[in-house]
Amino acid sequence: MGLLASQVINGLTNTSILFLVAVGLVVIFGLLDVVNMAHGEFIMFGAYSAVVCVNTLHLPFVVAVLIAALFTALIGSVVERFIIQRLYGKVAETLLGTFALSYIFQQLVRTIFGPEDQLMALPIDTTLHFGSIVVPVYNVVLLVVSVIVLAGTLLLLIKTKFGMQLRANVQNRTMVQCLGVNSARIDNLTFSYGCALAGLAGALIAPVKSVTPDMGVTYVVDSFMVVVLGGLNSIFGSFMGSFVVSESSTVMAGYMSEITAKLLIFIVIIGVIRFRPQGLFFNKDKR
Amino acid sequence: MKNIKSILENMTIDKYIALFIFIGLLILPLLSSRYSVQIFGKYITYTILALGLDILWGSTGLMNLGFAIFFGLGSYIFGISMAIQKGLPAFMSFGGLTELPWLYVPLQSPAVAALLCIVIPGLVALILGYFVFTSKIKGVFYSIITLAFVALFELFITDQQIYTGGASGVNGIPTGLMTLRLFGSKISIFDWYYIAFASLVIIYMFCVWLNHSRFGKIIHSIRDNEMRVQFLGYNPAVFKIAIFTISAAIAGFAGLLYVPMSSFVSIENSGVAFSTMIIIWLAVGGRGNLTGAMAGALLVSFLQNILSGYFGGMWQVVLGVGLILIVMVLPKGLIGSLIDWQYMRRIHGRQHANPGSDPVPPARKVEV
Repeated sequence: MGLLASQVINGLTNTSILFLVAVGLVVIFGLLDVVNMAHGEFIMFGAYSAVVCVNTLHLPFVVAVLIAALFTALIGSVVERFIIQRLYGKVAETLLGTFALSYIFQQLVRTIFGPEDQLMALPIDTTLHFGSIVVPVYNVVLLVVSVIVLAGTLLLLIKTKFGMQLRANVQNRTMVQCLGVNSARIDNLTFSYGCALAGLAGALIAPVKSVTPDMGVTYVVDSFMVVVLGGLNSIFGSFMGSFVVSESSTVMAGYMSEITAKLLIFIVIIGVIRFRPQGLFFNKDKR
Repeated sequence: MKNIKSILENMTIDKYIALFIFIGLLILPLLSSRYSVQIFGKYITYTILALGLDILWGSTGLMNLGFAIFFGLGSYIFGISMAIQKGLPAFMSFGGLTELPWLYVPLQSPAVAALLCIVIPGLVALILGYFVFTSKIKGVFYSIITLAFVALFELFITDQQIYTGGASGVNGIPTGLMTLRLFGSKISIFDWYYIAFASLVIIYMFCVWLNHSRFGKIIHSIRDNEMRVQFLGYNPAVFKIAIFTISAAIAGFAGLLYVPMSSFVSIENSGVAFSTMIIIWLAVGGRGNLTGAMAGALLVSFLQNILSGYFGGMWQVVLGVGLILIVMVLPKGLIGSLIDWQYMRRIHGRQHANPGSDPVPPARKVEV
């Protein structure tokens, strides 16, 4: 029973990490129809900028996280302006272009920082005790932040003027342009926002996960699983997707090998999308 | 004689390049060292692999981001078969196994292993294809699922250290290769080279035939307009499953041939990174015209071999920048653009010859 309870709590931590990692991908795919294969590298950028801010510049962790998000947003904006913008609507080309970017980014970081793992101390190293179960406070922080990101992104999309323009831009681009909205700028901001979320995720996971130039690869595949399960354009779906994937894989990993657990989940996901090809929470109205 | 001349004149430029590649590969062993025979033997298996992906991605429009899994299956099956020829290999006995796992018993016979190298990848593709294609999973979803699949395969192989050699790969293959006999004599690396070369030519012919057959016409139509194929009374899922299975079998066979060339099998040649590399070969060479796949595989692998010596790790940046330039400037790839160029030239030539005739509509559209 103790094992099950602690695995369920670990699963919550993994849920928040997976959601933070995947949400940027969902924003970019759901709103721009771009599968960003370089998403993992934006996460990596976020993690490295947090490491530099904290270890070299001795800034507080909160500031480091914000800087990481801004930095990746900037890079995302530049990348969108010069490369992605020309590839909208071409699936294979966007995949290839972002693949190429991931090669370049990885190698640049490897050249500057070297291939070794960057270490970063936990910003909060106190723990909470529930009976026999020990929970680091930082894991609670991760959960809270992921809920904030979920709520914030949904609010941004539904309640603000920018979000309204954005959704309108997805539904009827020509009409939006006729109404005098600069839709290219909206695309750019959306892409940057997705990248900023990746950077935020990277900075937040830097203290708990290993920070290496090829760290992004591991997260990208998991996030794609989440996205496939949750539906490609639903933010809430991706939250539920991460919940299902991490909770089940963590709980199962307590009783069997982690790889077997992942394989089982993959099989289940294939089975699920056989009946719901658009994912569990695909949102028809948004298109 | 006149007939041959007109055939040669009407041949598109990609056929010329294919011919040039074949002749080059045929005479290469006569001119070079044993080492380069081994390297180019490896490249031949890559070109076969690229042909396999080309009929899937170029002809049918199914972009598979995890294609290396089938190559990996083929090479692992044959590699393990070679490794267990002389008793238990090191990675199994270190792992604590005292006798061969029952799953590997059939692999003791190289002939059975060779057959399984083709059958197992085909079977995996058949099952995955059945699940994916009969439930309207389309476009990007298919690509993402294949990517997740190869990532899991990589994790699985690395995890099963005792059975697959884990991250360090399958060793002990050369001793197994020494025991192989073909018509009573040992198979040298030159023999393997020509076996691979002959297979490449046969598979190329097969793919050309496939593209021109009725089946090929239907898969092209699925790529261009799947809805219309359905209206005409065909079930696209059946054709997609079939082409997926065929291409996976080709990839598995390429994996088999890879074993004697490299004498080593590891996750390097079956994981996510290698899958991406296959995609890049096709992007550079061009999709849908077979030659592009072969040329792309040869060119990128050759450049990788040379440039990674000069640039070291920065080679990845060179590759990335090159790929972005190709995607932005020549989205049809090098060979695809050459075909377009030759085609435009021919049209202009014809218009000069008899002005007033209608310009010929584009012969074929390759848009994936």
